[in-house]
Amino acid sequence: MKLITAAFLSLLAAASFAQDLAVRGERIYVGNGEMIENGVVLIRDGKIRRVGPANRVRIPNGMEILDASVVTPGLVDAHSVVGLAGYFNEDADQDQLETSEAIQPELRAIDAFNPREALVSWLLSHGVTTVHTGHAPGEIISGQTLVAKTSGDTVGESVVAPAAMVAATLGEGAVVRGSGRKSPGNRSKAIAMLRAELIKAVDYVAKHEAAENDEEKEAPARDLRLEALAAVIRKEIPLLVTVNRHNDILTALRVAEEFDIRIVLDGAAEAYLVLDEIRAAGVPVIVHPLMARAYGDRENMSFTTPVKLKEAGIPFAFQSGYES
Amino acid sequence: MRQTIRVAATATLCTLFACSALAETVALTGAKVLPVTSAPIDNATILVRDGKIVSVGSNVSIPAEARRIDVSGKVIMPGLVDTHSHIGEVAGGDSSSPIQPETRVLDSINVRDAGFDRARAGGVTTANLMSGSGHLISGQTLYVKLRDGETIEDLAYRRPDGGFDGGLKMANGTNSLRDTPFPGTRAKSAALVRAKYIAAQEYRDKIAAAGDDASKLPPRDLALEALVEVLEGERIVHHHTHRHDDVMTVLRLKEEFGFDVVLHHVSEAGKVAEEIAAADVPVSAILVDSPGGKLEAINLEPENAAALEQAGVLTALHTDDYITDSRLFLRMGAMAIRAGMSRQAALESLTIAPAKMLRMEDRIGSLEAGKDADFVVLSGDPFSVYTRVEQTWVEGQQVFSLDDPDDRAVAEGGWGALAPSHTAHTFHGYSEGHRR
Repeated sequence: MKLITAAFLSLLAAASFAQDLAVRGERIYVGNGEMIENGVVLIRDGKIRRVGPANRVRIPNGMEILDASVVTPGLVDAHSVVGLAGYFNEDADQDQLETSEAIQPELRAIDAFNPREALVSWLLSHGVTTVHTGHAPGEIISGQTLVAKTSGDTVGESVVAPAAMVAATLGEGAVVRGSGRKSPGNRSKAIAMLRAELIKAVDYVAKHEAAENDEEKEAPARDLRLEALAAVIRKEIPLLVTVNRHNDILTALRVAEEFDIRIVLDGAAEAYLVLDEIRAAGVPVIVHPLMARAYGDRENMSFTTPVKLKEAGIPFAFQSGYES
Repeated sequence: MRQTIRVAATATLCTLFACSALAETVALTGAKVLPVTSAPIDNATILVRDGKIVSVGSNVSIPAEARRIDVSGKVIMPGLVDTHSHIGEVAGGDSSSPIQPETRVLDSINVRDAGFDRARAGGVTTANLMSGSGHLISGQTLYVKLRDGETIEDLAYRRPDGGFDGGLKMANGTNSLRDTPFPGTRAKSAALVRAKYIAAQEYRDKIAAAGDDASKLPPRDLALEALVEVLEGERIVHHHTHRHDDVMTVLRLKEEFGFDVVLHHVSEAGKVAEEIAAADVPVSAILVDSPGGKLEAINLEPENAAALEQAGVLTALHTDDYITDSRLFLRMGAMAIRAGMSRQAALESLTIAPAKMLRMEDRIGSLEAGKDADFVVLSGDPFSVYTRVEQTWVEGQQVFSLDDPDDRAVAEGGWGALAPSHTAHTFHGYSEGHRR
């Protein structure tokens, strides 16, 4: 897993973002709570070098200047499926959910992300410069996610983190009812399947560690599925758990505790019923889009959930949830 | 023929519960009032009696018996009129045929569906409830006033003869292209519709030829009866259509059969705005946050409403609830402004313009003496994202208040707030999957 990631990152290095620019803003929201009136953001080689009041930051002669009334950091969309899901919503441009099996963490988002997809440009046109996207909710484990810039012509140019999280779903969204498949037919079965797979991953990690520490022991054969989950077991990346009902949220916390893994709650429509438990577990929340439709497991969603998370001291982020 | 169709429809608006409320005189004072059909009035009074607006202005004398409500600092605008909504678990035709004008949504509506409360929480006071777009003709629509009623009879608008007031839902484009017996192409769709309207013309002519001789009347045909109402201009066609060529098909049908039509959705309205204006046909448009979703709507632009305004087309906006949430209806007006529509046109697109499309402009859609006392009390400017609907009034009766804990729960969501709406999302095939 680590080797693959390293190889991929070397592709990234080939891309260069060399731009020099001075942005003059009547108001600059720095992003740390600070607001600068009549400020300047100085950019060299694609990086921010200085931010401050116009009378303190000198703009070098000849540098390109952009004047703006309000300047904020580029928006970060904490969860979407754009780039895998496409604009036409036809089978040919819908790569965000593979329904042949309930658990497929080996599916990499980088193998499906289309940086030229119109939906990615749509996000960019609305101020989103970075997006967390990948395999969609809808199976117990649907695959991996990535973090990408919404600019760039190739996945190598766009991607910031090629394997950001492993996407899981609990509750009604992961249960198959009336389709050709039999399992998981209900919530308990889904969790039994998830735990069984995580136990295999724990064993896989243990055998690898044993082989590293003892030359006489042989490492297990490579298993793409378990490699992906091993990254979760080793706490290298979190499990992104899309879950909305309050009892399912508690189930997610129970699994996280059992396997000592990092999780991020996604959706969390009924988080306001279990705030104490979420806070005690130290788990962050990517709250559902507030304009989502209130049905199914999201039936009890509320416009007030973000303010309740804030008051409870639980870290949270917004998402577009676009087409997910 | 109208008399034979409308059987038990003579119930008056004045049900027991409604009469007691209508008798009250209420004066709301201190708000900035947006009458829509005239200039905004600061620090105005709205005087309401018997469910009607008595007067609106800055120098209104308030009778001693009036109940005074101080709404200083608030903004009052007419109740929102939604020309296209699917709240109430509405259903029309089934999968047996693409043309089913005999079905009436009024026979399917659950007035206890949470969608009605959601709409009141969004400031909607009148709505056109329609069946879906999966049929060429999916059924008869129903115009409802969102009174605090318990039966569909409490909510329904009536025609002068007491009959239920509504239009006819039609569709073209891709939603109605399905497996047999539905059409497989656009040309077949138009041919099927033309054949049915020609049958309705013949049916109408037979009734006219029979004169006073009942023995010569054709057997009653519920489907053709509804279409004859359309041919006679008594029932408006509400037509789902997206692509520019589908719009032109609707205009051709209108020309051939002479019916009144409102174009709905019209993703590509901007491409044929001049043609729509020349045909003198109104448009009820929808604006959404996210493009795509299905092929016929991929060119939906937020600039649509502005393009229609500039072409001189009477333009409304609609929720298509459950496609967009009625609680966020005002926000769609803000989106239209952001994409170039004038503020005045945006106000009209939520009030008097849709009222005209439902032929109710003499009764609703603006704040004027003599009109129904349907209005919304807002915390601020209607097009600010920070503004909340604080109160909704229908015919002089408060039907939503943010101060009421149950109403507030509907407005904000939360545990059990929308519980009755378990089935609303299954409307015309919208499921939890990835299609819409």
